Amino acid sequence: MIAVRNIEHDWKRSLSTVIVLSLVGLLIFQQFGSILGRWNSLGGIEREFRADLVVKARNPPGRVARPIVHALPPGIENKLLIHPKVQVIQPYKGVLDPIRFDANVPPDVPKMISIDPKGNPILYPRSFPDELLDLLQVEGHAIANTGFAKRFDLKVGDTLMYKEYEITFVAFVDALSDFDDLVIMSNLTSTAAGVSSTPQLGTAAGGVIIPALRTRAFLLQLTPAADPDTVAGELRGMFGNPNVEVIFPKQLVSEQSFALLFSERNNRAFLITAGFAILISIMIAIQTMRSAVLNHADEYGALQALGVGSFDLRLIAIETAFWLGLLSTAVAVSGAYVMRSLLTSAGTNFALSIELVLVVSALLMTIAFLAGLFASSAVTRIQPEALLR
Amino acid sequence: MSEDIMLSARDLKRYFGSGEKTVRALDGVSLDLRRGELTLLKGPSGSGKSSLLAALSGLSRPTNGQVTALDKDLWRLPKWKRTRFRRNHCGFVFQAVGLFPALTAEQQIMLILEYTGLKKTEARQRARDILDEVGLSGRYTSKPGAMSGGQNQRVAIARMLAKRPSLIFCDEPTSALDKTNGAIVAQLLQRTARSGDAMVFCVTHDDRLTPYADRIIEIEDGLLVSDTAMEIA
Repeated sequence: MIAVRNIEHDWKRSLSTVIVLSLVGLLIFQQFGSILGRWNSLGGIEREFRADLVVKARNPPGRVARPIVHALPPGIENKLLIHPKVQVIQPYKGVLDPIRFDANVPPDVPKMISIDPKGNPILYPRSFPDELLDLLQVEGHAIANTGFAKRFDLKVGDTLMYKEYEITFVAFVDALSDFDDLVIMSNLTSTAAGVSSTPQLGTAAGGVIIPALRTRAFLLQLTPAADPDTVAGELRGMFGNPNVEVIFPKQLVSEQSFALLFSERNNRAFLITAGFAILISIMIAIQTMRSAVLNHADEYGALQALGVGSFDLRLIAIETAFWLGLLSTAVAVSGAYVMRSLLTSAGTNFALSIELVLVVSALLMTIAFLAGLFASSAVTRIQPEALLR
Repeated sequence: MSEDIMLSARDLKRYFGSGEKTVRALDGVSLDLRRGELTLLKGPSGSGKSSLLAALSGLSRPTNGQVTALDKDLWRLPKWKRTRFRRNHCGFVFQAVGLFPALTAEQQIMLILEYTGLKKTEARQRARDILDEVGLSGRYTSKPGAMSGGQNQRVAIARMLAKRPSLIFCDEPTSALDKTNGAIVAQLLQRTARSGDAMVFCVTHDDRLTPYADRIIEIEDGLLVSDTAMEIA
């Protein structure tokens, strides 16, 4: 009873606590929502693979890195070709080298994916309509995400030069959005076939330079009756090379996302900022609640004199913190949904999952509880004899 | 202990500081407080009045000496038992009334009664009865900000009386009140001492309380200098 009445009565003080806590909640939502949004979009293409297995070079142990960065040793494709249950083999040619308009602009990190227009294009996302696949049948055709087009001011029909080959953009889509919005999916099979393992840069129209493609992984589709677990085991035995691993597409996606969360400098900075924000909010909330308690020192002192025990007095502070935490959580969650609608309409990657809502809500309630706990120690330090004048 | 003696103090000492700078707030005080008496403790500022009240009521531990309250050696009880003792047997009225500004008069009393284990409906009924008794029938839902100093002091007294305490301690209960309200509060305290099964021990500078007292004790430099029984009016 007393906790809620005090909140109502001291509404200005309560409001300031709620504002502080909900702003912290919103900050955490913004940071983690952005990271998760990037996480989802980074793994977006791999999530849509039509592959059953992925063969790639293993990353060195003890270091978090993107999963497909090292070149495969030679001869892998030949071994794959002789396995009876491997139906389609397709090289994965993601390129993570710099692309730049001119020497004065800092390099971006694009991702370029070549697909095989013949047979079954495993890289081709499941959600793409067949019309797009038809467009990519023509060698040199490319699609990119709309973010890429906006960034480089590209329109349908524009061309880029890769070595002596011309890439023509035939469509722009949203589903190719990726980290930093730079993804091209292009039919460059014959082009790639002639590319050496050393990148040879070519000058493209408009000043864009695209590095050479290198095979970093093979995507496999198995025969319909094949069991992926069994085939993966057989392939591992067949390669006999600890530096080559056979994994499932899901694992690739999670490795990709994990690498993004923990190896990207920006994201680490986000996490550190979130940590600071939490610490600062705890300190502000504690101070606000403590001053609310000390503001009622006479009242708490009178209760102590009348025989109300420390535990019961502490409970008042903790209950106050609980209600303030609940109010703050409600405000923060509502604000997060408004933020999501604003950010996504502005084309920013932002994910607001129910898990994130639950985690941030629990975090805010914990902050409020901790603040209440510290403030409650101030209650017990009040000496009732101080009321004697 | 005699049946009428509810609280007894022996050789109470309360020192602050040490060495040459030692302040002797109480320097060996002994007294007995009896059932049905309204006792006033008077003395100049710094004479040890508050220290004595704090030691007798279990609020502040004396440096030395013994306090026996309702046959219990108060300062030998562990803290939690002393707190429980105060909850079950002690009432306090302070000059600063210590009412929560957010609560109505009725809620102030219910709050403390619920801590004693009373159910909400029972607590509400008892709160209203006691507010009627102190002359605040129409003020059940008034908050401290909407009442005068005298009315707030009566709510504080009602809050204390609602627990039906045997040992009542007051610190300057009328000092901040006007003549009318001061008289009302004094009558309330006198009535409580005489009609109930309680004693009232009151620290005051206020001479307006004198006509209501059964006994007046004076203290100076930590020592009792006089103890006068008043004629029953």
